[in-house]
Amino acid sequence: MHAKIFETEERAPESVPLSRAELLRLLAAPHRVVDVVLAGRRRLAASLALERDLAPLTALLLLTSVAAALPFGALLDGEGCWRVGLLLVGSLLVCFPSLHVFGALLGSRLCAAQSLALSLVLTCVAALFTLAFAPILWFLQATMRAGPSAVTPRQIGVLLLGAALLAGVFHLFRVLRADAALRRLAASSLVLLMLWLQLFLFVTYRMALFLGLL
Amino acid sequence: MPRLAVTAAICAALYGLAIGMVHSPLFAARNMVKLPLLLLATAAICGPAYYLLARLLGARAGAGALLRLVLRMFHDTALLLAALAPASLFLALTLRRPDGIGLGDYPLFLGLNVAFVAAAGTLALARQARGLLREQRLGLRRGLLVVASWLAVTLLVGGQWAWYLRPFFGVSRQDTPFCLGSAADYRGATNFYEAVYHLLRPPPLPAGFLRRGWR
Repeated sequence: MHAKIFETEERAPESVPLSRAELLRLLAAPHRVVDVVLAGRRRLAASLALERDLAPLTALLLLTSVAAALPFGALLDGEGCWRVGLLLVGSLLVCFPSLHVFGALLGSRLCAAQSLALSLVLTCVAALFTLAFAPILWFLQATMRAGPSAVTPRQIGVLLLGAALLAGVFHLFRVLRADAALRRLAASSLVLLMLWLQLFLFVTYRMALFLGLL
Repeated sequence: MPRLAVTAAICAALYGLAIGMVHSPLFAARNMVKLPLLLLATAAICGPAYYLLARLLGARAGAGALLRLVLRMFHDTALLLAALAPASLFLALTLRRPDGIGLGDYPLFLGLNVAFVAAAGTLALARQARGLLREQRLGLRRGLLVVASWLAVTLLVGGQWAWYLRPFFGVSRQDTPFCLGSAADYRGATNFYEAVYHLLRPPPLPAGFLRRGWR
């Protein structure tokens, strides 16, 4: 296992993997997810590189991806607050097999659990940004007149959703760069990841059309 | 933080009073409420986005410290505007008023105040950006990215909020409501973004508009 090789490396305190206890504590203090996912990217990257407690980490990222997108979803589409969460996670689930299988065939050194957790970082960050953008969307809906207009709150909402997705993509690469071990692991599949991201974004676009968000 | 917010509100109210006087004491009084509302509500609505953007771009401080920085930015803007309030008030009281024939010195007053707001905003942003680079140990590129993203979010919300709260001054009638909200402007725009869009691609003016005039 690659994890075993990297286990022996000296690690600075800020790049020690997240422990199961720390991850479970986040259930009681969900606002600290931002600190773990955005600010503590070195520790997050270390957890991914060493495959340490990936199950609770994956569960946390998945849960955040769905839950954090609810307010924005409720504002964007009153009838289905779950749609934005489904858009993020659904697109990922549709595209994940291609990332894993292509990766395996092309000699990627990331295992399925690592790839899944890594790709969930994207959806998790996108969902967190939708949560931060929710007050803005609410404000726009409250101050802009409903009805025909060259620019509608919904259009800006879709734009904000796109910005949230781009923030997710940006952070995914930041996490990849944050840990030397993870960088070495992912180096073999960087091109694949770039291509896969294009597929993911296209599928997300189609999924948004399918869900009636566009 | 409450002290920063209160000072910002008072300073913004002073500037609001000054620019409102170009129209009437009624507009001046209304602006004393509108300007603080514009600044503080923009800061509050954008707060979560500011925080996440700063975190995404590598800032290390917690939500409290970052929001204090944002509030200081709005506080500085309001303080600088308040410093310009006497000049603005003097101009408001002495300019050639719009009449039935022309707009008098009103375009000059409008242009000067746009320049005042731009100068105050840019200076406050530059000052806080320096603080951001120093306190958060961000690189220059990252720091500029944080500032640019904050500026974009502020424009997104502040632009629409200012549109909703309009008029702050101008040549409108005395019985104009407190805020025009989403009422259409003379080109038919019902929100800030549509108004910007109309600036880029102007639609035809409504029939009889030129004959009817501004009112």
